[in-house]
Amino acid sequence: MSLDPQIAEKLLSEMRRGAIVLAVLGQLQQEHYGYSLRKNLADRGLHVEEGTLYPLIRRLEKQGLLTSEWREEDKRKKRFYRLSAEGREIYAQLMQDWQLLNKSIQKTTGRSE
Amino acid sequence: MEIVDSYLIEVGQFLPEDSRQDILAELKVTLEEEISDSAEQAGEDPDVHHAQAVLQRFGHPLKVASEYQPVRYLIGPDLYPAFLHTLRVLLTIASVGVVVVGLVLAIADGWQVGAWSLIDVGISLLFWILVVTTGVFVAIEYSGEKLGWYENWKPQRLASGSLGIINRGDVITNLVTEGVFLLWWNDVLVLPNVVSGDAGDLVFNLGPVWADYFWPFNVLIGACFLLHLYVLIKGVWQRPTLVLEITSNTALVAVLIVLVTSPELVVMSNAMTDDLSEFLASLVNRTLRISLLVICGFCVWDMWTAWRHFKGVSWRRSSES
Repeated sequence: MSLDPQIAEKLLSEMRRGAIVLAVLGQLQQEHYGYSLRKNLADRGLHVEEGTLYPLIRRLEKQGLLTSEWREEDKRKKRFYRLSAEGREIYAQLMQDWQLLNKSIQKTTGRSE
Repeated sequence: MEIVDSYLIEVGQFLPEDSRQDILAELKVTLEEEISDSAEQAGEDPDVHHAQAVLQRFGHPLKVASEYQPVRYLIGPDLYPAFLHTLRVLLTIASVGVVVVGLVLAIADGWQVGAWSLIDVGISLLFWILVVTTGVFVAIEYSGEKLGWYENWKPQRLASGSLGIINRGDVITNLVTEGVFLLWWNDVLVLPNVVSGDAGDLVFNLGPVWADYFWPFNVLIGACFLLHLYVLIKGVWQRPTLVLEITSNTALVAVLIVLVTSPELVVMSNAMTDDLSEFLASLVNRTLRISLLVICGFCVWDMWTAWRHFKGVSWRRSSES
């Protein structure tokens, strides 16, 4: 039986969804505007589609995890984002859970180092 | 760039009004940066081709706009199973109703209403059930009330034990049969009992032995009808319903056996000659006895099926396969 590539794609997409939020929060410990954030994530090996990333930043801001301000840079007005106090707290908590999860997965799959 | 502006207008029409300008301003800056970067990587000046490539990556304006909004469903995944269950139950009950009414009209009215009118009414009824049920569930979804079916569920409710999934076809057949019988038994549905011939009319009537069973049959078949309606709505056999199913079928078999052994099930009057009358009476009585035995067979089969559910045989089989 041949494996349906869509199944693997869907599973990967589900797995990445949560990880992307964590990566975005991590990057926004420093100030970024949308495009610079995407470039930064890509430079670190995490390619996120434009249609996913930009709405995600706005959702996180709406949830109170980010703050933003419009500022001019290189003669262009840009919207800069960074973690809010609440965002920092949640990020720390998520990172802790991520590490626990990672350890559990390694133990479960027998790939513990 | 004109193409970017057109794209933004397309996206903007699907965005909520209060945040539209803000999102579009940010999207414009982002698109311009992406286009400049794309051109820079190719060692070219930004042009419409670079813009097209970037917009292609961003995706359809409707999809982009939808990403900026909370996920909304007409009927969400939490409510959908409840919606589907309710719809299935209502449509099944309505279908049974239409079939029963159809049979009654067919027999009592000689199809004066016509098959097409009945099908027309049936389809309209099913359509309206679909519309109203969908409307109610959409209203529940939007009002934020989730019926509390999932949250308020308690494992204690399983105390009565769901022992097997019903066979809808069997239950519906029982319901239709019981419904038509009750209508006939209580003279709502009058079947022709006269055969006309050259020598006069031949009238068939139930023998006096049946009179003793007027109320027992009403109670027994009425209870079976209610039981099967309940089971159809629940969708599963539970311990009490299986006990009732076995008990009612046992009682029915007992009554039928008493009837089968009775001397005169059908009486005839106005027969042409004594010999012919005797021959016809014997033939009709024998036919009715065989029919009652066949019904007994169906009851025993239902009891056997119920017993298998009770012992968990059918469930083990289906979960093993």
